[in-house]
Amino acid sequence: MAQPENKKSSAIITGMGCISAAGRNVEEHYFAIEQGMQNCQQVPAWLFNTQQAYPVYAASQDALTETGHKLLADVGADVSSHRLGRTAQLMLSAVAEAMDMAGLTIKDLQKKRVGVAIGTTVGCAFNNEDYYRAFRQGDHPGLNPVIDYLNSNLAYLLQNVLGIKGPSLVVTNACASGTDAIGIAGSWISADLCDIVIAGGADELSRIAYNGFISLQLTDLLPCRPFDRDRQGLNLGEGAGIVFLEKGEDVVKRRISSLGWVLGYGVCADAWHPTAPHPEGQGMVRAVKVAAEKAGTGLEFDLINAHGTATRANDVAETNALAAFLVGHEETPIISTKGITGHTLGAAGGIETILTISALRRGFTRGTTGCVTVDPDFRIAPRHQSQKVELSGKIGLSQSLAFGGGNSALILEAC
Amino acid sequence: MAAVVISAMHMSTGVDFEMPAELAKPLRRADDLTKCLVGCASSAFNSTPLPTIPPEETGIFYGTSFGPLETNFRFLDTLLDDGEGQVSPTLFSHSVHNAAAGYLARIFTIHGPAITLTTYTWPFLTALNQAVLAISSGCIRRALVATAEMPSPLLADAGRQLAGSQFADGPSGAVTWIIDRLPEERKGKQLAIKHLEIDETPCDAAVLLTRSGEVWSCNGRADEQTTGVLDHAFVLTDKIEKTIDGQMNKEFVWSIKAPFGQARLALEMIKG
Repeated sequence: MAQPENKKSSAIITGMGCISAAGRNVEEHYFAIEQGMQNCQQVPAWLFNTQQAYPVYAASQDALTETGHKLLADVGADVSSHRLGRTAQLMLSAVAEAMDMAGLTIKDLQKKRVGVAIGTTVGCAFNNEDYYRAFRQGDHPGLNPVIDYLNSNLAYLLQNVLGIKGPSLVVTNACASGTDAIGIAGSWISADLCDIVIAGGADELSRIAYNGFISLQLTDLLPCRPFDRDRQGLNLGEGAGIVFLEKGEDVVKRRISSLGWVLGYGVCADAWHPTAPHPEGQGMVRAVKVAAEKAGTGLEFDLINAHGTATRANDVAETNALAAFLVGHEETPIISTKGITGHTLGAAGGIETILTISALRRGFTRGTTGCVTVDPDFRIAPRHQSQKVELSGKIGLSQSLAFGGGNSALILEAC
Repeated sequence: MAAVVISAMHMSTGVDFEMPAELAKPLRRADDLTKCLVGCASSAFNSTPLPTIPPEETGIFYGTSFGPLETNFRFLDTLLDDGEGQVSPTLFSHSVHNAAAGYLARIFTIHGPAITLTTYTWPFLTALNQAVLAISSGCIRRALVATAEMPSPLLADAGRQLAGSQFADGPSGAVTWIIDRLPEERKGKQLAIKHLEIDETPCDAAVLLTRSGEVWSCNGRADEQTTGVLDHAFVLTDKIEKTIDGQMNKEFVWSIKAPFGQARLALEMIKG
């Protein structure tokens, strides 16, 4: 397979893996979209105790899949040897699936320059309540929770577990972290800093973030309803979405199938408000334009996977932004997949990149699960859950907004 | 590839930082980490000699190891003491790692990328590396590169338990640099970033906190011990400032080694 001239410096997606409440691999996620599944429930007792009534999208109790266990076994490790936390286990499950899909072994990786760029929010916080409670009472509890916290930097941990070398970082840009991690990873491939990058996001449900979002009055007592007239807010989720990115010439040499390209990435600050997006989505519009300029695609897309959290402010700002740059292309299919995954925070950008590529490859997606009646006040209409969407082209946009006024956009092309 | 030059740098310790009066209102709800970082960035911007760059061509690259750890604990205090349903939304929104970058973008009207990176090794160098890449590849013309940490009694206690009297709780505060794509309009000598390399190695997690065995050297002179995660940014900035004052004519090479890896930064004076 020859590389098209205009994509020679673009990163090729050769592997994808994801896990969330919607499933334990990419195939199960796509089935969940087709069926409009909403695995949203009260917080399971095995996750944490709460008196709050707000439901969440919890992944299954065993966060490490069989593929993940096999990956650890291949490197002579297990969960206990690295004392892996839940976020790390979710990440490793997705890494293992993506690595299999890319047809790569650990030995392959250890011979190459492999970068790691992972986004997270909860995954970089010290949230051990028992340790903190004891410490503030003047006790000196055992230090394992602190050691585990230091060990839990996801990029450092992944390099350690796989025994790989190359640039690494954890992006902590709140809800846009996963999108930014993939964008940064694409820039490393373009700049020839590495041969392969493992990129995406991972996050677990935590009692602290759960209560934090409730305090901001951003949560819904029902499963979330992105873009719906009656939406009340988000429901937190957890999971991981990981892609393997490679240089074009290496993919040609390895004679493997490409899943798609990361054509463009834009990231722009709103400079507006600590938690709310700019009401006109100005930062989002800029981010999409920056990404489109790099991608050379213009502002025409075959599918837009929006951030679509179902908060009042996000969905208004985002549709305002979409209306601003889709002039003349108002029929572009716009969906949110958070109705099936919940808001997985730092993982969202990783999972949504994968769901965008999957939909484009299949030429089909469902409208937004949870959206029954599109808010008539929007300036542009996303697809509701009863709509089946045939996709004729291969160019997609996946976008994320974040606390702190972050806006990130990835332009993707499926093969 | 375009040359990237250092236009300004500033350091503030966590105890002596000065807050410009005009920033008091926008920072009234901010935590100490953000106040220190914004104050430090303000000083760096005020001392940069370049004309204003369009907001969309300026980015923020902020690296940190522990970020708003103490703010997260203050939020946890409200959860433990007051119970669910009674927690502080203000503390929660400030407990997110990129809250400080959001303040920087708002206060200095920056519309380009605002990226927060978390690493326990050398967060300032990691942020600098990404900023240089963003400028070199033509994404932006200017970047604010920043790092900041605040004192943490919990981590200091853990450090003392791990390393005993050998543990030195390093400085807290912030370091900010302004770096630019070499502008045509700027004349005279410019301090350019020639090379930056970071190589991380897995190691015992406790060393990431105690920093035992971490030493730096400048232009081949004897290694010196660091203290704390911010020390790499403080000593590097201090060394560059002193070298510039001494009319640097040769290449400046600064390197750091630790059980968790090594890094090397080379600078050179070029004619603008």
